[in-house]
Amino acid sequence: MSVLRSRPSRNGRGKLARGAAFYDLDGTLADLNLVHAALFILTNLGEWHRRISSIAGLVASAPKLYLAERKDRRLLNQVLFECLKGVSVDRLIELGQEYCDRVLIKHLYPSAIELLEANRKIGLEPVLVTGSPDFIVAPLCHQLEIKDFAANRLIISQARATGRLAPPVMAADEKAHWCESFASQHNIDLRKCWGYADSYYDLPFLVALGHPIAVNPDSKLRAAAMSRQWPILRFDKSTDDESDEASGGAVLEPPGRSVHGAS
Amino acid sequence: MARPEAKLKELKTADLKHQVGARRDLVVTVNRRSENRLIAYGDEYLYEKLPIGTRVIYAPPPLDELPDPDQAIRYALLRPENADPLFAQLNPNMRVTIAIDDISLPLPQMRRPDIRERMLNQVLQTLADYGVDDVHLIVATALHRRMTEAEIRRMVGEKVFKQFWPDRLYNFDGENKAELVMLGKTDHNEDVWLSRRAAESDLVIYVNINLVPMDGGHKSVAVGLAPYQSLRHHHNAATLRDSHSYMDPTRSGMHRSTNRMGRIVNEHLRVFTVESAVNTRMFGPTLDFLHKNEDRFTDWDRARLKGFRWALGNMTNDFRRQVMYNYSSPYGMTGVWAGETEAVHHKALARVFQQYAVPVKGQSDILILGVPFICPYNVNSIMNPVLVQCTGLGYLFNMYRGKPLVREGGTVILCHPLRDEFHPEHHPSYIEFFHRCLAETTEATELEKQFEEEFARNPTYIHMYRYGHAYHGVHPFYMWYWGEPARQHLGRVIAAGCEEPEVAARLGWDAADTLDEAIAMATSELGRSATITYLHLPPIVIADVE
Repeated sequence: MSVLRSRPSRNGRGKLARGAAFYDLDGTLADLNLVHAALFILTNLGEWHRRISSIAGLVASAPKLYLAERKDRRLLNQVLFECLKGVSVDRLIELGQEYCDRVLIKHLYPSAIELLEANRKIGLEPVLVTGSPDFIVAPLCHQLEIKDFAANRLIISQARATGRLAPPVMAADEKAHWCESFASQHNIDLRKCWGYADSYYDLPFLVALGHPIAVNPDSKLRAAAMSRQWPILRFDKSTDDESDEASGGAVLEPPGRSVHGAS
Repeated sequence: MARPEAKLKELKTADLKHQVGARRDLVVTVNRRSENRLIAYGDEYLYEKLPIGTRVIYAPPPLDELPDPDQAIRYALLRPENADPLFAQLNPNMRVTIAIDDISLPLPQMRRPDIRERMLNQVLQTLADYGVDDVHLIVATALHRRMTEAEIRRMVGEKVFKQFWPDRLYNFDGENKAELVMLGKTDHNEDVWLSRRAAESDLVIYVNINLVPMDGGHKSVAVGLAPYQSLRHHHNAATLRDSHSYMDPTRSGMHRSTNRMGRIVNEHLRVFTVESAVNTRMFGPTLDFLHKNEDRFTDWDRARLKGFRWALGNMTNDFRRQVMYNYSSPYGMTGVWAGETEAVHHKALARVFQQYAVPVKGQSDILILGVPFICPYNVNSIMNPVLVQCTGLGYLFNMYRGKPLVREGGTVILCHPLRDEFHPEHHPSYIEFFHRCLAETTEATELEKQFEEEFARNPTYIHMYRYGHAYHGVHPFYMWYWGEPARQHLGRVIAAGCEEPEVAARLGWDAADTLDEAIAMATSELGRSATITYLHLPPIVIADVE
């Protein structure tokens, strides 16, 4: 089973206060995607010759990646993570933490985190459901104080990544199934839950939730959102800046702590 | 450059002569020889034979527009009502905030230059002449959606836009807690909140357009620059039920509340109001037959009507909507006044009623209303079912003074296709309101009690309001409350030409495929002798019902 980490909820009775808000990560909370993460890891693997060969391998698989992306998000994840074959678990965890601290945090949309915190305040506990690997998602969730997440996990053999993903691969239908299972475990009514995602491949995930929101949707998801009457939300760093300026320079502080200050 | 007051002697009061005689045939009765009547039907028009005896009420012809609007504005600034001239209130060290009506009026949008652009140019020139440079322009959106950059540019004009956007020209944000202050409470315990920038200014200038008598006065500042904490005191089921009608501020609970709040505002702030009025010239030479009594159509009018309806009928829905929104009306400014809020509004209201009021004798059993493609809340957007309800029962039903055009317990027939379609970026909370809340109850007080707070505080909707272009989460509730006086008064509402009967059912209405069928349904209940009135809108008309 893919990674599912659940800690006791705040009320300590295994139930969330009111419901949950499920967030996709790449393209939704952050303006990055899996390829950025893979490139970061490959370019920081160790010795130069290893880096070069890894990046060359990734570049060589670009057509395969493109076709995989067009055909099935699950396939894209599988192709992408093949590049990590042979990397030690320790190194992956270290690189995941570094990627999170140096790159991912800076690419989170501030207004997305503001919304996440505001949702948390009204009792919608945040849950991350993403195709990103667990060694990246875990440190992020730690920093954002997100207790539950679902992410992809590499199969490890002899303390090294095999390049294969442990089933089920967290994409498309699997995200929806995971949410259903999470909801039943935590006694949550999915009809009262909110879901935020950016890609057409997340359609089953959004459909499973009572309040689906298309965030910065691609053209296909936008069309689906229009026809299904789902609200369309835009997170945009420039818009955030503009809005802050527009409101006379006064910024509404996100409830809770500052994202950039978290470490 | 010469100081504005130097020209004072050259200015003359605007000379407006209204052709009173032209109103004698504004109320006509359909007979055997009568033509079909044009009825707004969303973004199309019906052309229907109405039953013999139906009373049709037309809008008065446009008042003459001011020959030189810029000169009239200058005159108003120099000779304000119950206040010192604008220039006499200025000093170079002062902080000035100019608030502007948003895109919700006039409807459709007016041809450039927009009246607001004209007024802003004159006001800003006066401020510049007297060395005032700490000036902010706030689009007074209240809980409406943020106007886009292009919409603001069009409204204020290139010169103002280039000078002020985006640092000193922006939309009001009713959820930016740091930028809101509470001024006090009224004697009815209503919290008066306002934009901090406005509250901390030495002078607030409000630049307004009175499209209908509901607009302007204290409603401008006290509503346009106020957040939910203030608006909930008058935008609620109880207050709106006590409004008979919104177009008659003297008998409107909402206006009484905004007046109380506005007076608190004016106790704390120095407010200089600039109000303007426009005529009913909604359509230019190509479409001016839409203003006319159909019995007086010439062959040329009929040919144009045929072409117009053919063109609309052969467009896709999206394209037709685009065409309609791109149309701009050649409204003419019929008056402009400046000075103390109440004195100014008094004069503006008189002119507005002079334009719109039509004396009508008695109520009828059935009222037919055509719901047009646009209302204040779907400019460049989609007229969703909640807005159809607001336009039909909230605005069109309320186009009266004295008594409603339809008797208590009577029937309103609303002509609109009534499709289940929403704009996901402009009206996100409407979608949930329609599909979730209205599925449980259509009772306004219940909706208010059960759901309003949840929607008003919903972080996603707040986010979409603040950073996107969405109406505030609570807005669909206000739209529903808006129809409350009509729901209290009427016995039945029938949606004629309704394409999706389940939408009508969700709104608590009956559905009919055609207008004939709707009339038959109404008369089967009220009797064949039931009297029928058709309010021929647009252009805007307000019935003075005796």
